[in-house]
Amino acid sequence: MTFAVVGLNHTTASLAIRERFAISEDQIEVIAQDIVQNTNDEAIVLSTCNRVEFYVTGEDLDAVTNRAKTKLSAIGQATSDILTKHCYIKIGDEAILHLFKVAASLDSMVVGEPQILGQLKSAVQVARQAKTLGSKLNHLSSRAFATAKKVRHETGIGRNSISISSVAIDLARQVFGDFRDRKVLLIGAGKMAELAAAQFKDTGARLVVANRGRARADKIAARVGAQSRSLDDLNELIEYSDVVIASTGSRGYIFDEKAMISIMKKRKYRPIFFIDIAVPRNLDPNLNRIDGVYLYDLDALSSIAQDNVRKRQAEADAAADLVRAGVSQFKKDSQTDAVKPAIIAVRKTVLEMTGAEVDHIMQKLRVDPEQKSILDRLATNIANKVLHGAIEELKRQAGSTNETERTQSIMNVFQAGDKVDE
Amino acid sequence: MTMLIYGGLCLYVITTCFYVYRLFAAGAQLDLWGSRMLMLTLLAWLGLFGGLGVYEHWTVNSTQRWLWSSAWGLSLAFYILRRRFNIDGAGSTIVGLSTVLTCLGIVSKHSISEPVAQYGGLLKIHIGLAFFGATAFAFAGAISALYLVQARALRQNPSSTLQRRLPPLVTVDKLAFQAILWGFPFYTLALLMGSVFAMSAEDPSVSLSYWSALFSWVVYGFILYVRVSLGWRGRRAALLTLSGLIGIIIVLVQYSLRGA
Repeated sequence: MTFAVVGLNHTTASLAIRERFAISEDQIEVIAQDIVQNTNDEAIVLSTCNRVEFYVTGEDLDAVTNRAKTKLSAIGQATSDILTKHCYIKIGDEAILHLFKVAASLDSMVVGEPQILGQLKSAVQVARQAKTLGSKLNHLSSRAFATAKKVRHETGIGRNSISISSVAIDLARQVFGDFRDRKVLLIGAGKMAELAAAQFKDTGARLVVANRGRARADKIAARVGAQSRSLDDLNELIEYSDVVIASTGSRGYIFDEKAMISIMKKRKYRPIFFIDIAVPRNLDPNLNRIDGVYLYDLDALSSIAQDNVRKRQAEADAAADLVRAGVSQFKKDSQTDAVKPAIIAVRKTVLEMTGAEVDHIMQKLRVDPEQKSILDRLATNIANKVLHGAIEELKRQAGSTNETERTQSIMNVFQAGDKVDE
Repeated sequence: MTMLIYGGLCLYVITTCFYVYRLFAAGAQLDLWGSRMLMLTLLAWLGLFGGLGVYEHWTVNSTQRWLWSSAWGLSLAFYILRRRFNIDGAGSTIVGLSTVLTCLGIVSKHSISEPVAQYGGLLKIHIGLAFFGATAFAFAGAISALYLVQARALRQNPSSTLQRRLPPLVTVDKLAFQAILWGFPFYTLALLMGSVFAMSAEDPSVSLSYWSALFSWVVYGFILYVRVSLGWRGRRAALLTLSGLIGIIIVLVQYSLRGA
């Protein structure tokens, strides 16, 4: 059983090139069917913003790989030069390792990002719907998913947040625990603030947008499902907020230490979390000196994010070991699958022999049903013990150079030659 | 019996070390093993308490019983609360404090003085109330220490593993307040009864422990007042809680060792 992958990704092609090869969701089924072309071959089409890949297998691997390559070339309207420069074809063990790495997010632009596993699962689902997913690719992908799950669970590869807004949310969570009934105030209506607000919204927090231009505040508020308020009520808004995200275009501080000290008294020293993502900064850095006030600016958040990227990279080595172990186990199991028909045949032959002997004895001894079941169990146990060594030997020979010869000789020993595929 | 008590102490020490290690190492499995280890320690001590009740030749004095019960109660409270409030990070200080109380119990040689012993049942109630209150304050103190560590980590080293392993500030603050709220009425009653006993005792160390206890009571009373009326919380409240805990520790050490 062997596989191939044909494709390109963020390491081999720039965004401009990847755009040319991008496949929309509704095209995926058709493309997979085009690659398979009503044969028993199998294909999975994976298309994300960072990669376009066709995973294929079939009796004639070269043929199906060529069809995949031609299809990719047609999608990108690419010359052979472009294909040679930006695309890759991986076959056999290399292809298996590649899929395992992709699923475990080791091949992602941001190592450890969790979306790729979901995208890959969707691709498998689409292939199933398109009837281009057979037992081979199904087996391969499910083992890749299991390994990816193990990697995520046993290493810290996905543990540390690496985007500015998720770092901010993680830090705020260390102050508040959860965001139920927490109020998040958005000062200003920049793109960054909107992104952060959308992430806070997902946590269950209540959002308020305050901006100088009320119309803009209303627009953003409608988009992220928030209330909109005027910036004139800033002190009052801060008094009742738990998290404040500042991103106005103001040239100076819109809020200073003195004002905050008086607000802290009014809010009975409830902790407050400030995120200043404006450049130049909107909030006085001295706010951080006040007990219960936690202020993080863009530099602080970026430095944490970079630190977390380094931590993820460090975890990537451990993850790669797990992936290699997963691939090796998959290969071993696949080889064992090849000798399964022989194992079944040998077992069937021996059990038939022992069954016949038990029947023969029973007729002679006139045993009752209870004694019959004891005899059956005895015969099965003896058969299993006799077969154990032979079955282990068959598994050991799987994948070896003289596999066919050794398998045949073991089958001959047990007279099971004619039982295969019955 | 001594060996079993030392075995129980070892379990506390191992569990504490485990929780301290957990602060610096990542992994969901660690939480699971931490709770198993704590459960084993609690069960072992439950067995020991049973043994102390059944075997009369396992003689221990009342101070030892109370100190070990306090240590056990403290860890049990943590074991129950950790499921609800996600405060596994507090295991290092809470189980650590249980370890200290257990050690204190082992070295305790306190015998009740004649004039005080005449109070019999009332004395037992006094000690019970005092230990319940002290346990609640110890809990508040142990997690307030974590508040200070967490608040500092959030400002100075926000990407550290330690910061992520400690419980959220708001949760810690809330639990510390509730522990003081629970412990204060019991401690007040114990103090009132203790003042009666102190008046009838001539042993000067009784009055010293009384003054330490009174100091703690004033501190915790002040904490409750400023928290409820002025809304104090956070670092200031945590520091005050810790200073009250120092008073409690002085009382316990005094009480445990004065027979020495």
